[in-house]
This record gives sequence, structure tokens and C-alpha cells, in this order.
Amino acid sequence: MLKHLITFFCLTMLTACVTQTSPEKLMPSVQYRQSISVHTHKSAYLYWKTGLQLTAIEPSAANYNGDPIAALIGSAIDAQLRKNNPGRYTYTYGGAQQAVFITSMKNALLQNGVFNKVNLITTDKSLNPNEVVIILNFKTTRVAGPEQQYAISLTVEMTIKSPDKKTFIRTYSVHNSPNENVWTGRSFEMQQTEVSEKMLNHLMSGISEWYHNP
Amino acid sequence: MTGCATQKNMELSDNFWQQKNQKIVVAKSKAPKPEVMQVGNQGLIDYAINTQMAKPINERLEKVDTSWYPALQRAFTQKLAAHGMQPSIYPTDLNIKKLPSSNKDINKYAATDYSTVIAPVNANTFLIIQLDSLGAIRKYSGFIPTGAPEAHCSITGELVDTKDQHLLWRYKADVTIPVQGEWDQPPAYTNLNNALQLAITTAQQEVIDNFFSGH
Repeated sequence: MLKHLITFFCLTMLTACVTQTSPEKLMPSVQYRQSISVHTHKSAYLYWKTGLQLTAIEPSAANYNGDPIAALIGSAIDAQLRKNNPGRYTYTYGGAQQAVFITSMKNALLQNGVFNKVNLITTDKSLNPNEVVIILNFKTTRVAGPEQQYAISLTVEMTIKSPDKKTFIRTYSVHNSPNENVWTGRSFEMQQTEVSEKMLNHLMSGISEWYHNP
Repeated sequence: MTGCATQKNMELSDNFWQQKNQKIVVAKSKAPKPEVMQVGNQGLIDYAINTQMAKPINERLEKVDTSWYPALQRAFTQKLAAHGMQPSIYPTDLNIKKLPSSNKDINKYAATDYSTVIAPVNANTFLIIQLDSLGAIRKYSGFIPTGAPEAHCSITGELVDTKDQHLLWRYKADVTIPVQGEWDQPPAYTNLNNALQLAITTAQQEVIDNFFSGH
């Protein structure tokens, strides 16, 4: 009985400890480090749509060593802690990350002189039909579990509509660098940054392809 | 050493899409039996207890419709044809476990030696779709489950050059989805089945989208 009480106490203390990587840090803005040879005087809408978001949950830090009583008690405590503060245990590429991404893309388009003006929108009401509409649909965002260091897979469908060209549609799928079984010290923030930069590069290449095609 | 190495994903080069009219054979592996995958610290007796307790779920999972799997093979073929390639479907399911290992660097070559399969086909490249696992994952500590079962589907796609089987593309979609609402609903396990259907759809779409990314 004493052994289980001590286990109960230790598990409570353990779950309060800071974990190795934290899901709650907001992603920094995404840098576009390449060049793009598209320069128009047109204005564009960047229309953001969200889709399926699959998250990863941080596993319990406790090791019950096959002890069923400890497992019962520990699991119950863990479940309550997670219920009280789900964001602390959830790794996602959700609305917050996508908002940072799309704002970064807007900045990249403006800084590179691709469009004269870029408006971020989340609804297609009141669109000017003479302007370019770039629809970014985050079809699926998935964060893998700890066994894959919370690697991220993103699938974004980009549709570009312009009065003087055919509608351009491409789907881009990116994921983090090769999976490793050994913890490489990558934080979730690093995973987010890497995959976001890959996706931004693909989308900007897509815009270049659209521009240079009839 | 090659047994310890991890298979890594590999992006498909744009060069592939520039070679129009290339012949591609699209094969798929034999589908595994859908089941509950028991993970965690378990002894032999614990494992036996957990297997017995998971029996009703396994009985339900065995009835899961897998007709989407040949449909995925056909979807690849249709999209390849739409991109100007000459795809064809390999007529039988590959029993990957019975094929020998390639004993080469698995991040430059296929891990499996497909020589006997590739030799009779007249193709430039060979695309293999492998349903690695399907069903649910549940974690245990001993004989105590430490969480609810989660729906799971894992699909790996590989494209190899038929000359020397060097790898041109690999992507693994390993999708696990928690059950929304109550999971313990024998005998139909409706919510678990709904989560599984979402896992299947997501895994399939991810593999296709990754292969055709940007094209």
C-alpha cells in the first residue's frame, strides 16, 4: 500500500514537470529564401481554407513497469490532467500555425514584388472578379506521434483564378525530413519551421508556373 | 546493420514527370488481416489476456471492407495515364514477406528484392503500394490498457527503377486517429469504425497526393 501511495505521489509530481518539447509555442514567421521571377501590377486575394487537422498527443511520461495498480492510478491522474489542459499535450498544425503560414506567404509575395497588393480573406464574398484569387486549401495537416518526433505532413491544394488565364490547380504534399528512430533533438518548433518553408517554396514555385503558363 | 536502419521517405524528382510515355507497372501487396495492435510493456501472460479481451474488437475488424485497396491501385493507374504515362496493373498481389531482402542501402534501393517480380514485366519503373497495417492500436501496461483503442491505417508507396531497383520515391502514411465519443460499442463498434474509415481515407489520399505533388 505504501509503495502505491509513493508511486501515486511521484506520478503526480512527474506529470507536473516540464517535458522535453512543448506543443504550445507558436510557430515563428516562415522565411522565403529563394527568388521568384514574377512581377505584376495586379492585386491578389489570398483565400485561406482549412481542412482536416490530425493531431498528436504527448504520451504519458510515466513508466509503470508493468505494475497494474500504478498503471490504474497513473492513467487516471494523467487523464484528468489532460482533460484540464488539452493544449499542453496536443501537437497540431492547426489554425494558429496556418495563420502564421499564410501571413508569411502574403509577406513573401509583397516583399518579392509578385503582386501590387495582397489581401488575406477567409470568405469569397465581395471578391473583385478582375483580380487574382489564390485559394489555399489546407486539405490535411497531420502531426505524427513521438515515435516519429512529431513529424508533420502537410497537403495543400492551391487554386489560382485569374480573368486572363485558365484556372490553375495543384496539390502539394510535404513532410519533415527523413524519420529517425533516435531522438535527434529536434523540437516541434523546428519541425514546423522546416515543413512550412518546404511548403512555401512549393507554393511560390507554383505561382511562378501559373504566371509563365498561358 | 541494414536491419537496424530506418526506411526514410524520398520525394519524387521532377525528372520523372519529364519522361512521358514511360511504362509503369503498379503492384500492391497482399492486404494484412485487420486487427488490434497491442503495444506497450506486456509479458507473455499479459499479451494472452489482452488478446482475449480484444477478441470482440478483432472479430469486428475482420469484417472491415478492404475493397478500397484495389481501388487505390486503380486510382494510381488512372492518374498516371492522365499524366501521359503508360501504366498497367500487376495481376497478382505481392506476398512481400516471402520475397528476399535486397541487402542494399534501404534509403537508395527498395528494401525488398523484387527481381523475380520485375524480370518478366516490360516496364521502366515499378510502383508498389503496400498496406502495412490496418485496424486499431491500443497501449497496455501489463494487462491494463492505458488508453482507448485508436483507429490506425499505414500505407507505404515505393517507386523503383526496373534496371537496378534503385529508389525513385517512397512515402509512408502512418495514420492514427482517436475515436470520437464512446469506443466500446459491441458488436458493431460504430465510432471506432468511423475513425477507421477516416484513417483509411486520410492514408490513401496522403500517399496519392505525395506522389503527384505539384503535378
